[in-house]
Amino acid sequence: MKINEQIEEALEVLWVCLVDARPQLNTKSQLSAKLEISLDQLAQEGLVDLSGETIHFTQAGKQEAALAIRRHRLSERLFHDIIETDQTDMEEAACQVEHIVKKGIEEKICRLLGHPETCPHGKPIPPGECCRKARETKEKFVVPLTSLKPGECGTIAYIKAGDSKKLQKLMVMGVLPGNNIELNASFPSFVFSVDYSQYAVDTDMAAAIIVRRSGI
Amino acid sequence: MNQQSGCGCHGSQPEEDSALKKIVLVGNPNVGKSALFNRLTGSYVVVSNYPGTTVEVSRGKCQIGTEEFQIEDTPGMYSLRPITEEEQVSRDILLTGGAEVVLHVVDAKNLKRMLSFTLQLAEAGLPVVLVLNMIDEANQLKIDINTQLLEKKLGIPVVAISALSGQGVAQLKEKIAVYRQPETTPEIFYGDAVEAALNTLAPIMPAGRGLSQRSLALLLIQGDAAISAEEQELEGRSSDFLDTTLANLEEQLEESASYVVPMTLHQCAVNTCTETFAPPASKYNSFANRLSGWTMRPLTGVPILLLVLYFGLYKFVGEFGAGTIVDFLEADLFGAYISPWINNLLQTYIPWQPIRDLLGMEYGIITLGIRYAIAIILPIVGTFFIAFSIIEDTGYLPRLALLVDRIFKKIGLNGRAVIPMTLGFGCDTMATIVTRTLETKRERIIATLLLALAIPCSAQLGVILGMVAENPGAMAVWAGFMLFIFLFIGFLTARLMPGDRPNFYMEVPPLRMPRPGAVFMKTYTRMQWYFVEILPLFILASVLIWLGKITATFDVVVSWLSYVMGWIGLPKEAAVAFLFGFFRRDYGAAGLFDLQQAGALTGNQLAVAVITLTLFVPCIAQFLVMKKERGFKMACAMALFIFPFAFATGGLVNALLNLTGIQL
Repeated sequence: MKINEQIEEALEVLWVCLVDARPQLNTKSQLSAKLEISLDQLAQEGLVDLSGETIHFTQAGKQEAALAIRRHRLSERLFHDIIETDQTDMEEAACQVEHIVKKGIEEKICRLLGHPETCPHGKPIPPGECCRKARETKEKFVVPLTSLKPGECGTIAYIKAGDSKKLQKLMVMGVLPGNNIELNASFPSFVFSVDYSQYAVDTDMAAAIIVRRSGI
Repeated sequence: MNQQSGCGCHGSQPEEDSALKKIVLVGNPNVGKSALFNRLTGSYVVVSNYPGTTVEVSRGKCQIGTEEFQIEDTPGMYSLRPITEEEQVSRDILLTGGAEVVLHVVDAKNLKRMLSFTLQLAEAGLPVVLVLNMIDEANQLKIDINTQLLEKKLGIPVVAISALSGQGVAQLKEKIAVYRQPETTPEIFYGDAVEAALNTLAPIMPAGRGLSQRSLALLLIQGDAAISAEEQELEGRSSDFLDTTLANLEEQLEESASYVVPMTLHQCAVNTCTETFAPPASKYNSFANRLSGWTMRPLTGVPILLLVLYFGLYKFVGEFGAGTIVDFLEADLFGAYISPWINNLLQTYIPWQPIRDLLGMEYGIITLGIRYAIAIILPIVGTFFIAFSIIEDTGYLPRLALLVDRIFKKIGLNGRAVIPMTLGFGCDTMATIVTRTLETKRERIIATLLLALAIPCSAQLGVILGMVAENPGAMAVWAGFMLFIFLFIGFLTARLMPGDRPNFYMEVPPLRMPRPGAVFMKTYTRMQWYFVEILPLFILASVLIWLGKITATFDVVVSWLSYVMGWIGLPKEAAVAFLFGFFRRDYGAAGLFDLQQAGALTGNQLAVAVITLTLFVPCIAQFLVMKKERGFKMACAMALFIFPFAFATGGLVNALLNLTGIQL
């Protein structure tokens, strides 16, 4: 079965309607209005089940749709978190990138992002094989300093500071990629140590420090 | 903080002597620059265990070998690119040049992090000597530093010292005495793109400044606003040329130059450290570390704060200073012996009533001015400064800053502002100067207003605590109201003032055991400054009051003020205290104290009086500093707001207490 871009887009739209939406939009007329290709074509490919008034994904269809959605939302995360594009650019770029992300690359992105559970809009990202494994083996992944627990150590992966002044402040504190960092406290301020110095920063600045976890 | 230069007392500051060779101390905040300054000059500037306390440059002289040098201690800076105003001050000193030797003071434990600044300084063509301070602390942690190898790798002299104990200072002096600036300046390779831009820009940078052309160009490409403004002003340079070069560079780099350059420096520092800096196998968890952790968690931190306030402020300053000592000096010494003796002398030998009144009697220079200064204010200020010096030297203040950051954000400040605010409890005048350490103009304005309005200085606080100590109800009303007004006015100002929310970041130094010698020295210096500053004002106030009395203007003003007193429910006699408050807040407070001791105030009146007085005008000295720091208009606007607000609040509290029928 070969799934082209058009079908992928259609599956994504269906996913949003059938899985994300509450209340569900699932009658033929409602859905076909939203799709660029016909429902019959999807049914021919064995992706949806058209028997009856409401439409359902088939087993294979649901899997393909979840993958497409996953690639889309991971791409959004990538552009949002790492490349820091603005909202419109992010969506546009994600729409193009999702179709060229292969399975191996998708997992790499997922790992880089720390197996995120939601997209920047807050919608769930269907977990992949890598996420399940990471959860089982407590794999090291990157997270903002704000998600570390007090006492947890890590290596600074990168700094996600929008303005250069914030970046400069963090860098002079020794917050530089490759340095070890330990979170000492997370409330009311974030207190961390780099080398033999201890610093206190607010949530805003702590969130800009992205850390590769190294376990507790 | 450095009061000698900070609070208008320049007596101990030698004037700049251009004939002497200059040594400049630079380095990150809280690495011990001021301690080294004291060690080298033998003079004294206040040293604290919290960052950002030196706000002005202190100068002193030092004999090294056969030659005399002038030494300058600068506010802490992290790199050649300034973030705050104080850093700008330090950078400007380097930019002006003329230093024979620049001592880069670093915390030996954190060499790896601070070394990139050393590299930056050396690359700027400055005559740098690297000073590894706190070597004793590093050794205690079992950190091993190979200074000889470090010297070889960096190509500059390196000395390990402990400024506090004096270890290694003699070697440092030797190195300074024989220092000769190397012919070649070390250069770091920043990658092809950056180097190309530097080659284009360096030749057009101003030559003959303190920093090399290459280093100025480096700052320019990192977006240093001050450097670029200066460059724009150079004649004959079209800004297009600059823009094209910078745009070109940006295109070639994957990351911004302000990231690439420090990263390269950092990598270079790390490489240097791998062979010269040997960390211990494991960190151990000392009691100080655990205690440090407790001070930073709200659950344990708030009780610790309350303990500090209870024992430090209430028990020691309020009960011991404002109670025991004041009672002794006031009643047993002045009341029983000195004042009657003076008055007797005056009555026996001075036939003219006006002169008698000027020197003695009810409002005379000796019986009022000097008595207030010595018997009431001095013990209170003294005990406060002792308590504050101990708290300061332990390194507790930055911990307090991180505890209150969330609350302070709501009033437009960040945790950093806790330092000027706490200092305000010592002297609002000093504290207003320290607001310079805040990053934005907006924060500085809010902090200045809150200091002038809601933070009582130590003398005032001591007197007030002494007054309300016997009446817990009045104390609760006063404390609650002050806290409310502090937060409320802060909240309002933050809403009304445009500007961005400030970020909070602060180094948390280790908790240290205060050294009695240092605490004594610091308390002594502060008290000396205080005394020198206030005594003339007290005497002046006595003279003005005397003048007012003999010309009858005093009575007129008092009678006007008596109306105001009536509106806010205070006895007429309080008018005198409030009038004194114009001269100094603590003067007014001391007047009220007298009144209360005489039993002239009810509980409610006591609460109203202390609230009004706390809110009341900043003293003359504070007003002058406000004018200096924030400008005449801003200072006047604040004063115009504060006067009516203080009395209106007093009236409101009085009305509220009466309405609810509360009798304190």
